[in-house]
Amino acid sequence: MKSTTRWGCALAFLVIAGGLLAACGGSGGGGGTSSSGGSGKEVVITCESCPTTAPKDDPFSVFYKEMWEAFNEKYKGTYRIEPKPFKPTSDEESAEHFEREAATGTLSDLFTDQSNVIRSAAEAGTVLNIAPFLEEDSAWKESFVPEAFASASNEAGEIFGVPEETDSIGIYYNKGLFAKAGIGSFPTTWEQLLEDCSKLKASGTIPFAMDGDWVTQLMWTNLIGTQPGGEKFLKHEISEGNYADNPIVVKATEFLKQMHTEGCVNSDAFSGNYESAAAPFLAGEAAMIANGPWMTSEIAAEGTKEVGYERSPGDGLIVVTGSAVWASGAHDSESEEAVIAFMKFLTSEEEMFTKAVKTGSYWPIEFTPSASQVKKLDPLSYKLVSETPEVKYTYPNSKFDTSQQFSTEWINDWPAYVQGGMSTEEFLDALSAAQEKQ
Amino acid sequence: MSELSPMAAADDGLQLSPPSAAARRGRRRVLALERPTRGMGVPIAISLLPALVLFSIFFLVPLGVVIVTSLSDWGPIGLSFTWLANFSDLFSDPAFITALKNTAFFCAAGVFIQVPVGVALGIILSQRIRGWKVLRTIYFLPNIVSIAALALVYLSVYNPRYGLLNQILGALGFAADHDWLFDLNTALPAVAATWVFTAGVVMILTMAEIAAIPEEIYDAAAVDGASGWTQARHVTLPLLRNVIGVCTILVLLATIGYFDGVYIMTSGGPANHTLTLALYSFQEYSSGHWGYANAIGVVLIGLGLIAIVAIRRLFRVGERDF
Amino acid sequence: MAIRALNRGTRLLFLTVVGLACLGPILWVVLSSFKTQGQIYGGGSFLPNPVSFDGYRALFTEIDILRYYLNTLLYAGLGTLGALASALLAAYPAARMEFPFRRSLTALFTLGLAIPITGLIVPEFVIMRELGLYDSLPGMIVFYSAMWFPLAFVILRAYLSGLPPSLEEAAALDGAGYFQLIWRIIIPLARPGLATAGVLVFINVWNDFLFNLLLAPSPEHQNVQVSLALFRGHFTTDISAILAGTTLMMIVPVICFLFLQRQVIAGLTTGAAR
Repeated sequence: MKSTTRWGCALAFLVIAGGLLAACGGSGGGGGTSSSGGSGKEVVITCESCPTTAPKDDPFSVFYKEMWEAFNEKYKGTYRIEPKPFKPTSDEESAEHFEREAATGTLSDLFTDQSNVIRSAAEAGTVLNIAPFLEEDSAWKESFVPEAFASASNEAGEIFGVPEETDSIGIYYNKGLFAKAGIGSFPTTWEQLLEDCSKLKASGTIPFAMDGDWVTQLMWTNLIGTQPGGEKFLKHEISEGNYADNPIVVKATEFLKQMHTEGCVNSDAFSGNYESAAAPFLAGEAAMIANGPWMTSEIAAEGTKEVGYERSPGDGLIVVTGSAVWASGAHDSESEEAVIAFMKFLTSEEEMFTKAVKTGSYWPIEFTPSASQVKKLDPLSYKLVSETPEVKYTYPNSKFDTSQQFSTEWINDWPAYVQGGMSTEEFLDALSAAQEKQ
Repeated sequence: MSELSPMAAADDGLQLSPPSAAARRGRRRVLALERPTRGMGVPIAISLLPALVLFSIFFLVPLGVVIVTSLSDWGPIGLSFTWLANFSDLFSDPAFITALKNTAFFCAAGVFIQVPVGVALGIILSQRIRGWKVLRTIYFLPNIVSIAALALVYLSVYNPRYGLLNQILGALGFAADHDWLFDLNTALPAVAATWVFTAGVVMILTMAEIAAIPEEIYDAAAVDGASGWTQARHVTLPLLRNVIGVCTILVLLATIGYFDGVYIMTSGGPANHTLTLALYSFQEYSSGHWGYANAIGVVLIGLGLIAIVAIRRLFRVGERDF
Repeated sequence: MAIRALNRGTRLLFLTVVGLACLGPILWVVLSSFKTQGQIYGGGSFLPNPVSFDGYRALFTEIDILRYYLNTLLYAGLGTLGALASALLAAYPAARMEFPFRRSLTALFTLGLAIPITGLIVPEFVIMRELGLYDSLPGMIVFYSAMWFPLAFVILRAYLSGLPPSLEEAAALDGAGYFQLIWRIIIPLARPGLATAGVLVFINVWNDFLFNLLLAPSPEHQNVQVSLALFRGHFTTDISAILAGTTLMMIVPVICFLFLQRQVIAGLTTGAAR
């Protein structure tokens, strides 16, 4: 005890002194940007979204880490990515970070964020416009699906980054529970969904699993998107608020509430935690859940039996391209060249296929995998992806073009609305106000 | 609340000396003796330096910053002074008013339930009933656990599908799928119930105070015929005024800044029914409204100071009747 | 006699109700952490039957819990040392020396305990960032040292004031300088005070949630509290793992308390009211 206390105190002094020294050093050094050079002709580009460590439960980080390392390996001696990982805790923090860097011209050569963040950062004029590079290499440009750049471009035709995924988000359902309730197939209309709900409920099953945030909003999106005019709302008008004035939105919101009040949804559907929706579905207690293709790995891991994956009732499907975008703050031609090489590398068929296998998130490029490749992909999600052209309505999800405040407000007010503590108008006005705050 | 931070009740710290009269005399002599500590100026200054640096950087400067910037529109992009605009906005902001009311509710739960429960536990265990040491450990244990862990515990307890509470209610024949934390009517009390019975700190302080009451007082009371319950009510309780005041201050400081539990359990929902001042300040910080967040912070700190001063007056904290 | 029996009955009832209300849920969670997912959803027995370690296994495979434990241990261990070191160096002259502004300085440091520090989140964040301490292990250690310095100071000052007066005289005769005196005489004598302050600071740092979340949010700098609370929130569906995690969050402070109960109680009572 005697000597440990003594050593401990000494150590603590060192720590404090060290901390203060580090502090002086830290405040002295400014944020450097792209530094070309180093070892002769190799062009070094900085990357704030390239992780140097990847937790094993985070397939995206694992993929990104392997991907930039593979890039460095492939272009050894020509280009080199120097990771400078920035790890935001929240979407807001990330948005603030990049907008500040854009305003001060200190963006790194490569970074990725939600397309709406990239768009507002680009207003400062320091985000690289990649449109000329796409024009230059028409093969590259044409490798993308139509509208792939819609989320990252402005009216002047400038394009501020490349998309890295197309997500088709459908509804998973438990075939065993459907059979137990005497239902033969997945509902194709909303009325049928309500009927199936009461059958499922009667058979002792939770019909639909929701969480008060992500899954709930996916269903809100489906209810809006499968009405005529819904796609337009979700693509453009949703960012502007005034929801209570839109009959499509009012109808969808009230139907979603009805699903709750008729007992179609799990009793703990208000936590705002994905867990409360996923747990009952994975445990085989809930019959349906809306979610993206990445959930298939979880379903496989839990051993949930006989799961189907279908488009929404009303013949709709959430399809989002470019909700996240890779952008660049490079401003010398050498770095720009390296950045474009990276973007091409990322969106190559090989990397995009690897990403789909590893993360369950699909490519935004025109690419038909070979039969042997298809086998490596998850069959459930690939089926939905391959059916996309036949779907009547496709639309982005509600989170695509709304602010973080919108979702925070949703989590906060949704339980109150469902319990009758707010009218539809009050609820939608609160959402509008949160969205307009942005 | 289970933050283990006793509040020094003394005005000037000098009253923090140990209780024994001998030691008190001794200290006076030290001071008298040490007065000619000439030549010690430099080492004393060096010795105080780490404390001064740490305290200035992490207490004084932040306090100054929070007050000054509460008068500004401050965010990640920049700062511009708007003087009292934040405060006038605050009082017309329904979310702030709700947060203020909820915080008051939690304070009341602390003062009117946690403190009495703790004092009662302290009085009972001070009677040295059988197994009092074990009981003291049992009642204190929940206080040693973090508020974050308690929040996770109660998220499970309140869960409508597998939670303990609904299981018990179900076994008793009631409806058993109530979502306690997300029902407008039950959310606030449900949150308070997660910590209101963890009165271990109050209990410990009460027990220590009772131990310090001189035997003679009880002897005199026994002559008057008081014993057991009567003695506890008419002799012990009035003598505990000082320690009850201290406990009230402790509980108020913890509840005024209550954050962890609501952040984890409800994020302030449903419809702000469990939003607290600290959580609202954090939310405004997260959305980049730093000036506004600091205006809430100033209110929070101001309320803390008012509470301390008021309770000290009310309970004449620092004075004992024995 | 009847009244006495009634009193005893009320007392017992009160003790039972409060005991169940504050310890029951914790006990239920600890017991349930040894159940399988199915047993938890199934309800029924309070005791796990059969005992299952699924939750713990899942927890250890899904997140790097050892790393979070190590972080927390570093924060709590070195943060406590930092707080104790700075507090001892300040408490010694404040308790036993005469110098200008001694009383005001003492009062100022004591006031540190009276600020509801959750009101200072923005400045703390900005200061940490400006000092280059944001989101780093050493940064958090320095922060915790500062945050719990007032508590350690108050306890140590009270303790040192109670030591007999003849110490310095003897040391002065030896010709020992100021720091030698602290090192050779005060630290050994103040050991009980250091232990008392140390265990309280340690538990408080261990249990911190807000400041770790605010000041070192990236996964590799999270402590047990933050990582497990967020683990619950994000894409986790394994209830038994969540309950196992909750149990692991509680276990270290509880063990500390069971072994150092006397110090914890002494610390609480020295700090308050005297």
